[in-house]
Amino acid sequence: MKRQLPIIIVFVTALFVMVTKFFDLGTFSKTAQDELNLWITVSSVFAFLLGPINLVRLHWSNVEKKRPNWVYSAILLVVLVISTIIMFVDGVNGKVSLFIVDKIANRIDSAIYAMLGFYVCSAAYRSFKLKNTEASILLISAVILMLGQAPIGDAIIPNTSKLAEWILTVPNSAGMRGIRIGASIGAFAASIRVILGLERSWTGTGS
Amino acid sequence: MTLEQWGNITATICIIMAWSYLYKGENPLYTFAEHILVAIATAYGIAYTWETQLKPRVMTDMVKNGKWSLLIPAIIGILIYAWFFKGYEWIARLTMAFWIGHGAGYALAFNPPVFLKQVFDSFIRLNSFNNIVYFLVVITALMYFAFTLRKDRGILKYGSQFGRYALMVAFGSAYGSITMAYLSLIIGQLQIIFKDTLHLVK
Amino acid sequence: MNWQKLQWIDVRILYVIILLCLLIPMFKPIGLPVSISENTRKVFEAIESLPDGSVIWVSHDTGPGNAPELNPMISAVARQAFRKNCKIIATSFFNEMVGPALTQEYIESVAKEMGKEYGVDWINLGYRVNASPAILQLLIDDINKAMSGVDWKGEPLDKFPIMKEVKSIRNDVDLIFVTTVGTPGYGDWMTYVAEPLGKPLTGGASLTMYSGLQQYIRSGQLKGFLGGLRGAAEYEQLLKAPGKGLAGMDAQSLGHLTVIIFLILGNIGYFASRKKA
Repeated sequence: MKRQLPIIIVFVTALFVMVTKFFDLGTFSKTAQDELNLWITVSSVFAFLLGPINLVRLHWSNVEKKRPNWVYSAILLVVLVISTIIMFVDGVNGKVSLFIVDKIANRIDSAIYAMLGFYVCSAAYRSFKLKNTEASILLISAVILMLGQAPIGDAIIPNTSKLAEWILTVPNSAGMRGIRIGASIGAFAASIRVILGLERSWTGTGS
Repeated sequence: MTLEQWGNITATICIIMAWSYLYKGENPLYTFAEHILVAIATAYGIAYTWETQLKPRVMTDMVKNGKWSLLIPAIIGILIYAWFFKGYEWIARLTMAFWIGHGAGYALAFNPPVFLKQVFDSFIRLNSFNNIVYFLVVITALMYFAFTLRKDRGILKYGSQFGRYALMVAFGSAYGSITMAYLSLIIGQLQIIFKDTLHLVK
Repeated sequence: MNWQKLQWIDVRILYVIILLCLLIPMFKPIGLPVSISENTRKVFEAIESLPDGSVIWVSHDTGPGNAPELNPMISAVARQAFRKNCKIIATSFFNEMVGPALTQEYIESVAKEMGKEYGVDWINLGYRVNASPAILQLLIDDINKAMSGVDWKGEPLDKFPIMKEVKSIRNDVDLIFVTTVGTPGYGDWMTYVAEPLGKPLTGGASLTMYSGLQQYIRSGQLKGFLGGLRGAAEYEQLLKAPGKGLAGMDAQSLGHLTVIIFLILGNIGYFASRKKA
């Protein structure tokens, strides 16, 4: 039962969605779909503590067992407790809450993400070499796009932006469409495998 | 000093702490910033979900409007916490099954119209250079991805080779775009430091 | 000279040079002209062709990382919408930490400037868990039910006049404008809302995703799309309202030039080492 029940639930839920979508069952279709969507929303809301509990467990055990860098785990737990209290007392849109979120968390988050800019540049410098036909096409296409999408491209070579736009909207678009069609067929097959219980890795019992 | 100015100074310090990684890799400043970020993001997630979702669902929908049938999905959601109790993890999978079934059902019911439009739009009138290139690239890219076919001779060999080159153009343009995207993000950070905080830039 | 060394320059030198090249134009702008692409023009025209007083759904589905690219788009679309007396219903389903607050900040600043009132001309509904597909599907027929009856601050929706006019996307919304950095994003809005209802869908994406969505513009499933900071700059130019998008363009130019110069240096070094070998 432990193995079969989840697979049955997947099958029944998916079938319910498809039947209410594809068959005209009068007002029942719409009502049933809306109710199911509401159930999904409400169940996700009630499961919202899953991540935080996991996080606390992990860092609590780091502190308890004095694992390397446990001090940072302790800092995390203290900040988590203090900011949760502040956000409940001040409200999620209170001045202090927004200060903490906007001026600290968002800034660190976006700065870490922006670091990728430096890595993208150094990766290009280290690896983009005219080694063979494929690598050369890749390099030339990237350079044209870089030049064409910044205003300086047209200043150096006129109409670079037009060429970049052509690459983007014709060969790039067609290539991406080829990839997308292939991926969609794959996703379609994967969905069917999940619904039929052929793909069971998510249950932890193997495929 | 106003709250806004304090905020900008704090933001600048945070950016410098995060960017210290560029100079010295994993270091105390960066690790500290990383942990603070996770803590605040989690706290905000809890408070925001409570304020805008959990409270209205319980207080308004259930208590005020008497929609007690929502207790069923509430219980389904709560079952996910069985994950933390040894021997009862399988109960959490029931909740996951509900979500996965819903997602897979929707994918099968709603994706085909979007996908088929892409297929139909590929069979275009070959009356211009762009249309011919477009059609050829789509077909040859698909040939390249047909891994179950033998591609050692004939049209499939040359077709998939052309498709490979066309994909390189697509990946190159993606890389060019990505470089631009990330440089914009660095510009965003620099504007905070030099414009909002130090007021050196107008 | 040992040309081979050109491919092994310390990357930290590259970082410093990139930083300088992005900084210099901020102090001394060059003011290079920005040409307008067809994709941006389509976005502008899709909104311009709406009748005055239409309702536009703006979903600022951004995370903290890509926000600098996408925020100027929100200001610009709000400006164009308010000029045409259109109403805006805003959501942000990608990230609860930044989405709702940034949406509020950027639309509010334009609204104040143009004398538009919160709750009457526009509203910010904020973030909800599990937007795709459940919430998106619920929004089609009952916005109140989908958003649990409150706006981004937890205020009841009944008290806002705009929500008395706009009850569902199906009957009351004329165009959907979505910024995108991942999922949920344009793909989910297209699959679960725009395609089934036949509503026009447009917006803007981070350039990290931009090359991967061109095929949807060609098939007409997207009515044009803005690409990153450059797209925002072009849009601002069409609106004749320069903002943060155009301000970043000079820095972008020098940044790209630096990367290309380093690519050339790397390749010179590579060929020198190959010749020697």
